[in-house]
Amino acid sequence: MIFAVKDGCFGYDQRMILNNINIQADRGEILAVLGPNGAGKTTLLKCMMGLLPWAKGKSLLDGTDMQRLSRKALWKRMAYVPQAKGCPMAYTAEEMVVLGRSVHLSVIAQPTKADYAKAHQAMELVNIGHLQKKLCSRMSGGELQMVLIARALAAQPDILILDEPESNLDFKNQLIILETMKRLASEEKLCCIFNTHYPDHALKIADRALLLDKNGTSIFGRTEEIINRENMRQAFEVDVCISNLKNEEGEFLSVVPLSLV
Amino acid sequence: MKELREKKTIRSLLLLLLPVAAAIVCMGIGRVSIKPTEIVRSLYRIVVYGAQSVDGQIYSVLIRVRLPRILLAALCGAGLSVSGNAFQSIFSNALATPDTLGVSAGASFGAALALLLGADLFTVQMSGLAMGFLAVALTYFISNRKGRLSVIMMVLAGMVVASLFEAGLSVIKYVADPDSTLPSITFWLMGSLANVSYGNLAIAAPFILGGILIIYLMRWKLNILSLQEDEAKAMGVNLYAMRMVISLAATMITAACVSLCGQVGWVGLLIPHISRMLFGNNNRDVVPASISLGAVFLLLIDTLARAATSVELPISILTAFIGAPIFILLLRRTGGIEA
Repeated sequence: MIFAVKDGCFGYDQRMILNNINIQADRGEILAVLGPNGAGKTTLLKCMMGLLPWAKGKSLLDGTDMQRLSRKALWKRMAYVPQAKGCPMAYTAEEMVVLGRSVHLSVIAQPTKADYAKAHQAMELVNIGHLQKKLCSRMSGGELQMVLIARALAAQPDILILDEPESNLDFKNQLIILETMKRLASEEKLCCIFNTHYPDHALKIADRALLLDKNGTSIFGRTEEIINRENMRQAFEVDVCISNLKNEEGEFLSVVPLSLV
Repeated sequence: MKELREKKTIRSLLLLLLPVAAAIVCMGIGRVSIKPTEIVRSLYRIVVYGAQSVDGQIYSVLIRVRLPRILLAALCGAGLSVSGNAFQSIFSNALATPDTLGVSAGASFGAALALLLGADLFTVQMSGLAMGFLAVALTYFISNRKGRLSVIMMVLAGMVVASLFEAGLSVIKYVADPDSTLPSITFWLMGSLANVSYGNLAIAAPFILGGILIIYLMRWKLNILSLQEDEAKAMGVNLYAMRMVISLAATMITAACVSLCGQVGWVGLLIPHISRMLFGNNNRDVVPASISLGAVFLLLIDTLARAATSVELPISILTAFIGAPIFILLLRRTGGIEA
C-alpha cells in the first residue's frame, strides 16, 4: 500500500467536518473523492497532503507516518495539482513546469539542462510539448490544467493529488484529463487521487472511491460498489438513475440525477 | 536553442557593461566637464601608477567628489529596484514596492528617530531596518486573508501603514530642534545623494550588497513565492522561512538606502516593471536585469539632479515625475485582478 489515511478527523472549532476517514491506494491505482459542495473534499485533500493538520489520525506513505517525513522527502514522492484558476505572474509553460523541479534543487540553485530536459519530458508525457513558449496567462482552462499536471510530473512523484482537475472544462478537455490520469496510472504506475463532482468520471476511471456526505461520515470501497442509488441519495440528497449505456464500443455506467429528496 | 543561449550571453554582457559605461559617462558631467576617454585614462593611471600620476584637480574631482556619489547612486539604484522586485514576488503583485508597502515610510521613521536621538549611522540603519520590517509585516498581516492577497487590500494596507509611520515622522519633525535637527531631517527625507562620504558608504554598502546578493542567489525560487500558498508549499520549499529571508533582505536594502539618502521613491516600481517588459516574468532573468538597469537609472537621475541646474534638486522629485504616471498606468491595467 503506497498511500493510506488512518482514522483521519478534521474540523474547525468544535464541529468535525471529516470523521474517521480511512482510505488506501496502491501504485497504478486511481482513487476518486466524491461528495456534495461543502462536504470537505478540498479540505480532505489538504489534510492528506499535510497542508492542513489532521485533528486525529494520520496519513501514511509506504506505511510511515507522513509527519515523520522531511518536507523534501515528502514532496519528492507526492505532487499536488491545484485547480487551474489563472496565474498572477505570466510565466511561460516551460518556466511553470520547470518549477516542479524545485523540490530537487537547493534554495540558491538554478535549474540545469537536466532539469529542463525533465520538464520537457513531463510536457511530452501529457502531450503539451507544443505549448512550451506560450504564456500561462493566455491559456485556456484546459491548457493550463495540463501545464499544472506536467509541473507536478516534473518532480517525478509516485503519487499525484489533483483538486477537481476536470471541473470547469468542456467535454473534450474533460476526456483529455481523464485519459491522461488513466494513462499515468496504467503506464507510469502512478497513484492518482482526485476530487470530482462527477460520479460518471469516477465510474469511468477510478478503481476505488470515497464518498463523503455533509454529516462528516464517509464510505470507501470499489467504485462500482460505492456509487449506487442508495448511497447517492444519502450523500447528495438526490434521487439518481444509474443506467447501463451500450454502443458498439461496449457498456458504460452512467449516473443521471432525477429529483431532489 | 543554441541561438537562444548566445543571446543570453550577449544580454548578460550588456547588463554588466551598461552600468559601467553609465558610471564613466556620468563621472564626466558636472561643473568640471571631463571626456569619458580622459576618465578611463585617468582611472587607469590612478590604479596602476598611483594618485600622483594624474593632475591634482582631476584626481580631486573624480575620486574625492564624484566617485563616492557615483557608487552610492549605482548601489541604491540597484538595491531599491531589486528590493521592489522581491516584494513584488512575495505579494505576487506588480504594484508592491518598498514605497507602496510602507517599508520606506517605516524605515524613514526609524532612521529619523535615531537621528533625533543623535545616534551614529550604524544605529540609524538598524533602527530603519527594524521599523521597515515592522511596516512590511503589518502590511502583510492586514492584506493576507486565508493565504490570498488581493491587490486592493494590499494597496490600502500599504497606504494605511505608510501614513501611520508618516504621522510618526511628523511628530519627530515637530519635536526636532528647528535650527539644527529639523532642516537636516527634512532635506535628508526629500532624498539627496549629496552628503555622501566613503565613511558612510563603507557602513551602508555591506547591507545593500548583502541584500542584493541574497535575492540574486534565490532568484529562481523567487518564482515560487508568487504562486498560491498551498501550491508553493507543495513545491517542497519552506515557504515561511523563504518569505522571511527575502523580505528581511529587501527591507535591509531599503533601510540602508533610506538612511544614506532619504526616501528615493519609485525606483522599485519602475525598474522591475521595465525589466519584465524586456525579459518576461521569470525572476531568473528579471532580477539581474533589475540590478543592472536600477543602477543605470539612478546614476542618470542623480546626474540630472546635481548637474541640470545650478542648485541641487531633491532626487525624489525627479523620480516621482517619471514614476507616478507609470504607477497610475499599471494600477489601471491590473486594478481589478485578484492576485
